[in-house]
Amino acid sequence: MLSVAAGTLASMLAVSSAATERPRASPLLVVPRPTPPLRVPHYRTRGTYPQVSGRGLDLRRVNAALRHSLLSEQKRYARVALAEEARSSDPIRLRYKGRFQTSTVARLISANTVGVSALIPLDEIFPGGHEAGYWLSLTLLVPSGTRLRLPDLFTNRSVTLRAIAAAAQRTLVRKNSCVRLSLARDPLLKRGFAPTIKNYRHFALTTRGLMIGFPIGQVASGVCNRVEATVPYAAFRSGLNRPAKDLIATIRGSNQGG
Amino acid sequence: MASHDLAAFESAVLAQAPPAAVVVGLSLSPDGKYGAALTFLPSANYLMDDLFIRDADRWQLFGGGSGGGISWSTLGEGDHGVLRYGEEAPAGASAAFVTYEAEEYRVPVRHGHFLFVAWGTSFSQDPRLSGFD
Repeated sequence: MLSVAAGTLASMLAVSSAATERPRASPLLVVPRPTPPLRVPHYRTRGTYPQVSGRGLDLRRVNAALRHSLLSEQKRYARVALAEEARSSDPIRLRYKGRFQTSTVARLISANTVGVSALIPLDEIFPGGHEAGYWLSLTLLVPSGTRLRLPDLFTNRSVTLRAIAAAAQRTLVRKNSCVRLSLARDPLLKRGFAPTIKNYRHFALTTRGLMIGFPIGQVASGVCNRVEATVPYAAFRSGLNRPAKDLIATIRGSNQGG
Repeated sequence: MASHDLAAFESAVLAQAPPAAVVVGLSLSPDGKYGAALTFLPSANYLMDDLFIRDADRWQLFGGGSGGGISWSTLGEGDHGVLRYGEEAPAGASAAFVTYEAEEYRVPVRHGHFLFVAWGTSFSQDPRLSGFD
């Protein structure tokens, strides 16, 4: 899977040189598909992951990228799960089951004929283990399936990341009392909001704004599990490059399918 | 909450738990869409906290993990979710008193443990154990 620079993003979005025409987009239908089984004994696999469909467009590369992301994570986690079973076999002996689960959540996904962007809740729980919520995330150009990373969208990475980080923290502290309580008890958790690419690697561009997913323990105590923040585009619009603004315009302008 | 609803939920909880696990406590959400359960495996002295979602006439595992202490999960969008608080009770206790958001609740003790559940809470404070009966 490739990621792209802004210039490439511009060409792929077919923006005119005068940058006066914006790419047109039609919504795609988001179709939840059953999550493929995790090939590890003593695990239950549950949930769905998103695929997209639409008429007259070859979406195979986009759907393959979405599926590949999930399968890659399963491959990575299978090694972790087997190592954990070797280290601690009691829960298996007692017949507890582990869980691998993904979810297709409409408000965390946008899909149109220009781009598909998804934040996918992921649960990976060892047999008898603690609740543990993570994320998968993918933003893809249609129909190429080329993956966009957050920096691909920016003119100035550090300034824009700082704006996103400040807005994400502000939003979560205001709206999520579990996060608020956690930060009051353990101010060191604020480090999870630091404006680094790694801290903000799980994102989706949606009609409501930039959705950021924080895995369990990053910005709040474990009891809050994974959390998400909606950052309004207005909070960092000046740091977006033109192709990114165009991509977001298509997302905000098209109704969601599925 | 109809008793047959709870009985069906208890069956679903036990169906996915290890053999010999017993139910400490159960609770259904006010809209009947979700259920919370705490199970105990006496042979391992192990608690499991499980959250379920109703799918037509079946209960599907929705969340949870190892039990005991405080757990909280969002149910969809927003700040509200379900809080669970479970602990061991002293021998002979029949009920626990839990204070949460300025109210005191009496919850039964089963198999030496209790489960307190609060639905639709934003979890801005911890529940507190006030005593046993």
